Amino acid sequence: MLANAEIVRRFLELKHQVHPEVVSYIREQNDPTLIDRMAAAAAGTLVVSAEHIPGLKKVRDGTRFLVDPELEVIMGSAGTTGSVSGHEDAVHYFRNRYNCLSSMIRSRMTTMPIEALLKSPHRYRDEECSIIGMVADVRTTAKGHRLVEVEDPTGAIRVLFNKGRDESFAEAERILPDEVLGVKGKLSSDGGLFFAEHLFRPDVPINNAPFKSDRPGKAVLISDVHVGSDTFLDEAWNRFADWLQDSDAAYLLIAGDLVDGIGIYPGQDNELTIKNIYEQYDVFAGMLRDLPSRIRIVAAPGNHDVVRMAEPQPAIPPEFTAKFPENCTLVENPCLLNLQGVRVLMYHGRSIDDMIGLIPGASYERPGEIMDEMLKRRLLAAPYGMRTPIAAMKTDRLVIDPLPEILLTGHVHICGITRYRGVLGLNAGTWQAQTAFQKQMNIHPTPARAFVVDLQTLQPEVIDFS
Amino acid sequence: MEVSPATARYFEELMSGLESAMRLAAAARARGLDPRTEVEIPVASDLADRVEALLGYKGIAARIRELEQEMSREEAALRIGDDFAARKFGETTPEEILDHAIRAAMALLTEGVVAAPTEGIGKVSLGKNDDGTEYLKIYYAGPIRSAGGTAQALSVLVGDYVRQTLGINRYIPRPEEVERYIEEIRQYNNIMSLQYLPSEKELRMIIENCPVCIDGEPTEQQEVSGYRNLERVETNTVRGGMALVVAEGLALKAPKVQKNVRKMKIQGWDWLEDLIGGGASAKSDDDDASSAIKPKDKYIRDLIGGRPVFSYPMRKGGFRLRLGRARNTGFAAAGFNPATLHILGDFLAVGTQMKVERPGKAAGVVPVDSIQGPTVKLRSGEVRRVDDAAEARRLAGQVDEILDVGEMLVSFGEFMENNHPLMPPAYCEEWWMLEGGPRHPENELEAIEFALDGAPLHPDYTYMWDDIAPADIARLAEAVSADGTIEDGMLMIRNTPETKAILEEILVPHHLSGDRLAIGEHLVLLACLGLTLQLTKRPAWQDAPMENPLDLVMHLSGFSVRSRAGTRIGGRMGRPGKSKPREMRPPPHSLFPIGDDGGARRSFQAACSSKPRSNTDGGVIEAEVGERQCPACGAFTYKNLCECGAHTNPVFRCPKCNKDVGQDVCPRCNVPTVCLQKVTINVKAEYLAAMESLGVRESSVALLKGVKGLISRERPVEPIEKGILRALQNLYVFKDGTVRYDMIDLPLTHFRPDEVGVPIERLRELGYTHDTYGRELVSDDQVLELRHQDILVSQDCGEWLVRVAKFVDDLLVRIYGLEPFYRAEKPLDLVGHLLMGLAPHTSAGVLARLIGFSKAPVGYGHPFFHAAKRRNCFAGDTEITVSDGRQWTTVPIRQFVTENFDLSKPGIDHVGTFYSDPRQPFYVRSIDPQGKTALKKVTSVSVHRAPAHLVRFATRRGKVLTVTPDHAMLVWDTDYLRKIKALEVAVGDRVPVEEGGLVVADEVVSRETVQALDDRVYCLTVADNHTLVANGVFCGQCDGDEDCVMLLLDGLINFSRAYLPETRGGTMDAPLVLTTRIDPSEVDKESHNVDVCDRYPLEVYNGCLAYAHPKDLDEYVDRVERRLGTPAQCEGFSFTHPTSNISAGPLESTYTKLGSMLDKLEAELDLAKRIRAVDEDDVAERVLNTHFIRDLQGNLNAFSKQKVRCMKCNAKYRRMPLAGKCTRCGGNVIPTVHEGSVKKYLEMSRNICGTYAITEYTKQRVEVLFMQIESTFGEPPEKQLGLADFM
Repeated sequence: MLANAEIVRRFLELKHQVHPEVVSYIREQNDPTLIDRMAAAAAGTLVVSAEHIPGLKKVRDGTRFLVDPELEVIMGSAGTTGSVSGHEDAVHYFRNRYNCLSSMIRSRMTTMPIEALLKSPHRYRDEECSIIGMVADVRTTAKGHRLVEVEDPTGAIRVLFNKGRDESFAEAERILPDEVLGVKGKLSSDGGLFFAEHLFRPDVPINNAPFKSDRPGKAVLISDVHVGSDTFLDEAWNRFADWLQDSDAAYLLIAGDLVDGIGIYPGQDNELTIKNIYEQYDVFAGMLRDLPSRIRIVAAPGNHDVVRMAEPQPAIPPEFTAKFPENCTLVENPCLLNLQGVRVLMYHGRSIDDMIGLIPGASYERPGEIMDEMLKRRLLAAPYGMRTPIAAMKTDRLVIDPLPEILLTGHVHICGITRYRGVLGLNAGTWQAQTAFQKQMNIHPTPARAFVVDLQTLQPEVIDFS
Repeated sequence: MEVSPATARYFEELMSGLESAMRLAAAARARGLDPRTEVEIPVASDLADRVEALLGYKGIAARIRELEQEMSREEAALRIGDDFAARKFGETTPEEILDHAIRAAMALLTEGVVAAPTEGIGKVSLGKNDDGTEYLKIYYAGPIRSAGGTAQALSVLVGDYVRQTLGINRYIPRPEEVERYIEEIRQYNNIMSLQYLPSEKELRMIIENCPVCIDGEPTEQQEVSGYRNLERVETNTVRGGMALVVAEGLALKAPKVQKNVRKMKIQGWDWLEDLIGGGASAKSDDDDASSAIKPKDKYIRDLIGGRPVFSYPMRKGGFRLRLGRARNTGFAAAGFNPATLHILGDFLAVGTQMKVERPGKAAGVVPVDSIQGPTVKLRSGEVRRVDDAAEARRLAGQVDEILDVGEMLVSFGEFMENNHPLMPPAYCEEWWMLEGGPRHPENELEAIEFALDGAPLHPDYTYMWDDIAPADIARLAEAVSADGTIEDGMLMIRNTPETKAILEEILVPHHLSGDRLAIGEHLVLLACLGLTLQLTKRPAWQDAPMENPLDLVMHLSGFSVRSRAGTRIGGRMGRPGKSKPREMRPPPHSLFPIGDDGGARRSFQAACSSKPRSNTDGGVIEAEVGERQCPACGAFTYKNLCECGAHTNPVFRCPKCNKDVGQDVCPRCNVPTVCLQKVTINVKAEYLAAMESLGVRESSVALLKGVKGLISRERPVEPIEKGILRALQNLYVFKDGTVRYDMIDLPLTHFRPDEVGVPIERLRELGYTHDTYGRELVSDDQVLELRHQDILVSQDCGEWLVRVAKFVDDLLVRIYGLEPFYRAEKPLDLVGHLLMGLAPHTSAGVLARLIGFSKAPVGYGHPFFHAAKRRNCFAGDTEITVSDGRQWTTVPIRQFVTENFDLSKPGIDHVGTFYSDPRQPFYVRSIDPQGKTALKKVTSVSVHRAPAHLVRFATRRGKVLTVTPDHAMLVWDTDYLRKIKALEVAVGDRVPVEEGGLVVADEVVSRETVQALDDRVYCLTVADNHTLVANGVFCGQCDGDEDCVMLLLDGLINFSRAYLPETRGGTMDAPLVLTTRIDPSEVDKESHNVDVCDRYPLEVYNGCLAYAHPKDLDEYVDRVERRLGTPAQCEGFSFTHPTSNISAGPLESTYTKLGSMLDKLEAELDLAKRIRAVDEDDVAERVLNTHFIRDLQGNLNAFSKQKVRCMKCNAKYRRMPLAGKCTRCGGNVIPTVHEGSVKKYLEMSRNICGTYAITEYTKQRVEVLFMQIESTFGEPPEKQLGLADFM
């Protein structure tokens, strides 16, 4: 197999620089002839990028059939999530996750069930083979290698990522529990261990091209309003509301934490200006009613909202939303929306807490990077059993499928923008000033900012109301 | 140690008793049936010996004694390094010198009783600086926690001191290493919650300047994410020991380190100045003098359902402070009138722990009948004070309201110990006497006479005037003069609600006579109200000062009147006491590995009948045991005694090259050697042979239980015979080969023969010839001064001891072929015999003599005895930590408790432990005493201080309940109910590595620790990777105030270090050394604050009125500290308040008697309604907030993050495996958190919301939780309608 450095060197010899995406594509294809072909295709440009891959066209999904051309909730409309009916659901849940994600990888490689390796290790001893498995456990060995236990429905095997292999090891350090991986490598001589050479994730297809609306339309994206908290930025919100009056935005999406809630953390009552949960929603409803009624509002719950913490979270129940305006649609968390054909995946982002702790170098300051990681794994929340509670039901709604054009999250109170293989990732900040807790944790939020995305160009714009 | 001839004789008796036991044990051991042929508990008479015995450095004891003569212990700990550097004790390499010096210093600093010196330091090594020089690295491990901050910090200093002597350079950290420390310590704080998290600046200062590299063994499950793969830091995993030493040691204890630096003139520590100046060290707490007399509600911040509050902070009607010490108080035990205990619903029993507002955090409850009881209003309207226990029991059902809960006896020494300013006590007779009171007044007239003579009004006739406003006094006087009459010597007043309320407030006893109130003794009342005998107002009313009630009363009456309310102290119930034999889970009779063939019960009977294949005889098992070789005939075996009759020796082989290398590490392969072989044992034959050799019929042992496997280094197998003999006496063995009994311990300095159940003749034989006043002992109600190594055990323990004695006698006769020793038939026969006391988490036993039995289920012992078992506390930071720490979710909770201690405010909790409230009020303190289940699988459980987590069990039958870890549980064991501690049930099942014991295996339950609150609560106050110390779990009574006793000979004969797990922490809770003589100057300093005078002088009372600091009055009070070094240090003690029976009052708390949480809660709230000093709505709200809501929220959260486990092999999975079944054995996988355990308190919480005045906020929280639970589980199916619904 070609090494990264080798590929880059070969391109340089051909007087080209190369996009990392292309390098990984060539490695994945394991076809050295591609280099020459692509260099030829890219003649005249300095950097060889994905568009020069022969036979690879950015696939743009040109038409979308929409029931409602303006706003449609594809997944996660109110009342679609249910309750946990029994512990057998957990089997379905993880199987469902495995099936969805493994099919994304399977299209790119030939794999075998783990059981085959376990049952007849001698057959595959010196042969390169590939498996797809969900991570059951991941740790660093005493010598610094990465040891991952992966399982598929047929069995489980331990996979070793050698720290000497720079290319795959950097990725191996970022392996999260319960994500689905494809691994290419060799079985150890005693069959007890699988030496990984290359790692595949479901990922966004390299040829992904986002759909853009054919009509003008703008969406405003915000999150984490935290009404009721003593750090809610009233004035900034009013400026925002005034600005909306004059804007041409057609949609307002709110990605959770509409109110500060009650009993979310110990001693919260001391930091609330509105201690009544009904009143918090009433005040929020008032704020929404003051916005122009032409704007279609979509509001999802977050971890501060009144619904259960376990994801998928149901929509805010009617007893709290009696005073909400008519133009407001309540959805679940996560949910997939369709705005004039542009798909927006809205997720509050509780799992960012987990991922920051698990991914080396990740930081609250840069939520965009975390969104890249979500897209690579095609999972909104990979690790189960950590800080993100998950209601394990028959299907896994946290799998990112189908691919959206825009991924909207919140939760960390810090704005972030990323674009990963055509998908625009936005973390929408907050309307709450730095809290005592954040101060203690040395987190500096970026409050009172709204994203405006032009649905025709998918270009985001940040407007600061602070 | 200077002692009187009498004490010297006492010591001689103890020693001769010990010697004869030792001789016998040595003779028994010499038979070679045990892993070693000699007794394995070395005897130490003083600290120096203990250190030597603990660490095994020959000759160090003598040197320590020399140094101790000249300097303080802390200095000696440093100075001893010189001797190591000079290689006086046989060290060779610099590493060894450093290692031994640091361990020795630490042992010295921790009184040689905790495991920190052996377990807390992983290793010591040398690293290379970037300039090529060498530096010192100390690897701290989890158990370092048990050393306390000062010892931790000083160990670094010791390392530095010796390093300098050896000429090793200082540690020069690289910038990324500094950052790593900062990241890692913060992360550790998130997992475990440090007592003090230094700021980034402080951490930087410490790491950049500390000349020693503080390294550590990985203790947590988490890895750092930022500064990974550093060259000189071997692990990416969080190192708990390191974080503790840096944060709680160096940062928090910087002043202490600096003091020693200055004294020893050590170079390179000048930066401490900046650190201290920068405010790095302990921040001042809110316990300073100015706020000390304000109400403190800390003790009720975390209320647990079922444990009532008796008095709100400084509220009228609460406990009134009485200053003094009875023979059973002091040393963190407070006295209450037995009537108080009964009137308060019997919740407080002898030995129950109470959380109090001040002066400490907690107090053990003991009866003292010479102080005042409660004042109650009966249903008949009568108000009376109840001072008599029998009367209290009689009246208990008629009480309408508890107006005043009575007095609480607290000694001066408690104030001293807690560094709490004195405060005005309730006015009492002993004080009155000092102020000119001639004698107890016969009647009211005489009291008035004395008052007119100049003494203040006698306390018995002083009402709670300062509780009411002057206007109320005027109103009462008005009412009395308006329509009062005197009939038959009774003052009769019209019964208006207002008048009655005032009378009730000032606690004037009265009753209803028709529609009028009748007051018997009314002369003083009239005088104080400024009324004449004709009930007319005196002229004094005309210029009456209306500012202060006491001034007004003094003006009106002309008497000097003192406050009888004094200072009120708030209190609530803490943990109930307990007393029961120690049992592991499942409890084995024998340390014989029976493997899976023994079935869930590990029974020999099952193993004998198991047939792996048909057509075989059966009873043959495979076991992993230690490999031993006979030195005489060379045969290999697993038994301690070869068939040829010689004692065998363990064989250590290299696991790689399989060579018997006889060393700890194979020199060729450089891997640790093991003592292990797989053998096939014909258990059936062995068992029958053992039965036969003992002459026991097979039918007489219904069930003999072994252990699943062995996990000690040597894996020695105990002879089956021992197990059979234990089974005959129904005794269970502990992991170290001994049998133990756990008891809560209370202090006692004097006793009466009639309360210990021992005839005076026997006591005279034991040296109690004279009573404490020097009179000949002739009657059984005389008060005798307790010798300080004599103890009283509970009656149940007495019965148990008889069984142990029979077992030991059987052992001696039938196995070792020696003469029986005890020949005891009844508990009384054992009086005068020697026992060994052991506190949890310590490694030193204390020799004790049994002197009698207490009716209450507690162990009474001299404060010195308790203090000697106690590990030392430097500046109060004494926490004990045990955990099984594989990962934080499976950590025993006792540890959480310790973790939550607020080190900056150490409180003596209860006899035996230091206790303190968690500093952050949001720490989870929820517990879950679950009621009986329908299947009667689990009965009610005792509760203790709420942990940050709950433990969740799933029994085999799928029942799930959540309990705190120290709950006693009954588990259905096929044909009987077995009692086990939940704690034991709890810990990681079938993970032998973990469970420092043999206890690991489980069949009945799985355990899951569930976080009880938001992530934000650093509930993860958990495992300090004492993991392996999980053993601690088994040994320790939760929180450490229950100590255990064992029969001396049992310990000497049966204990072997070889049984102890080799995992870290394995040696905790084991009697590694026996202290034979308690030297008061060497025991915990807390006992030095026990005051031993028979009265306090007036200066003390005056000081109290002025809120003086106890230190300023030191000279007026005779305390142990002032007697140290003289023969009087352990005898001639006295007490200020007599008590007639140390076992009076309830013997078992209502809390433990009541089954379900619902009953407990009902009883608690019912009591709250009746006590004037308690606000029942607030109690209900607090219980909701700090217990139920946290439980609901925590469990709901845990449900969505839960693990699963295999029903068959008990393997645990972080999530459901994709295969849908166990990937190891193919068994069924089931969840660990069930719907039922989530919903458990839901109905109860909603009912409370409906019944009590709960704030809207809390009500909404419950409703929101209810909605969330419904949304998770779906709406419950309609209840099936019964026939009755249609009628």
